[in-house]
Amino acid sequence: MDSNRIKVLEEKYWKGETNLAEEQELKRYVRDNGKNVSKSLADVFSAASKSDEPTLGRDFDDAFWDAVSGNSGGRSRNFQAFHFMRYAATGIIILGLSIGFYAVIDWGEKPSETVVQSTANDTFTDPEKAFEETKRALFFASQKLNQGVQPVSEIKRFHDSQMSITGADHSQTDKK
Amino acid sequence: MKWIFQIIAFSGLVFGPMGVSAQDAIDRYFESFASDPDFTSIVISSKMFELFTKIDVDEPEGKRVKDAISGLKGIRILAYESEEGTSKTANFNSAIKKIGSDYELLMSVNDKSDKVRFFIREEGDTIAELFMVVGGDQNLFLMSLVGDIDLEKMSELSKSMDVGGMNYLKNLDDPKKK
Repeated sequence: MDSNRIKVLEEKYWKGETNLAEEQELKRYVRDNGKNVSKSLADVFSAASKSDEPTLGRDFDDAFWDAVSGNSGGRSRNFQAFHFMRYAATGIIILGLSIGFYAVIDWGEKPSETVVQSTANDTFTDPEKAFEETKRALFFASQKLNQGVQPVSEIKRFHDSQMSITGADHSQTDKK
Repeated sequence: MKWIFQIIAFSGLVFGPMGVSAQDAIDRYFESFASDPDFTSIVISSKMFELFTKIDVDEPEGKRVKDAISGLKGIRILAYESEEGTSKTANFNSAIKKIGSDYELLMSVNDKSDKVRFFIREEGDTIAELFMVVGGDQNLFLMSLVGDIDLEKMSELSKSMDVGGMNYLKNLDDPKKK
């Protein structure tokens, strides 16, 4: 091919004035010969030709190697294992979340007064009898409470009296 | 479709235990012992406490009691006293172990016949529940007071009156007396 024509075509190509036939002619020339054209044009056509090449996906590779090795069931087992793992992971996440929710809810739980808000379970139907029982229960609790408080109050009284004596001694010393 | 099952399973796992979790300390004992005929159980509800306000009391101790229970919303009692010669005994230590971590030991008293433990559950700055466990060789007494509890008023109650120690338990022991 005439090198002058190639140069003219290249100039037209960069200006965007080539038609499809001229562009194909230029491509063929670059592919077969490659001389008398700028490197940038050669690069452009080289990249374009690579992108036009059809590629095979991963599925094809898997199918090919399965067919070659005659191991058609392996992929199926892998597929089942994958699904099992997915369900197991979902189960673990659900379990974890539920334990977390349960812990948070239980932590913030106000132990219910609802249990004692209805008279349905009341032992007494007569308020006066219920009041008498309440009174006796409270006196009993009060007595037991005071059993614990009494020694503490005696210690406190001893401490107070000791402090007042010490304080009196100090005040007498101060007067002297 | 499978997501529907997953959501149902999730809801079951999350919300299922919530129904079980709504328990206070004495609920656990009620579950264990309320069906036992040897135990006496007493429940006084908040509705009954509302009715107490309509009761006329003349004597000063009744007035003090009404004052002390003004914030209370419920009382539940479980009591057990074994008869002489029976081998069955309710265990004080195992009863203490059932108490949840949200209860704090307020007071511990050991005398020659009984061990007494007071536990409180606080909400903010107020005592929302007072839980009392009394146990001896032959008896176990559990009482839960729920509501706004004023320990000072409760302590004042018995200072003017002697209720005779464990006589209260002896009276409780026979449910037919109710």
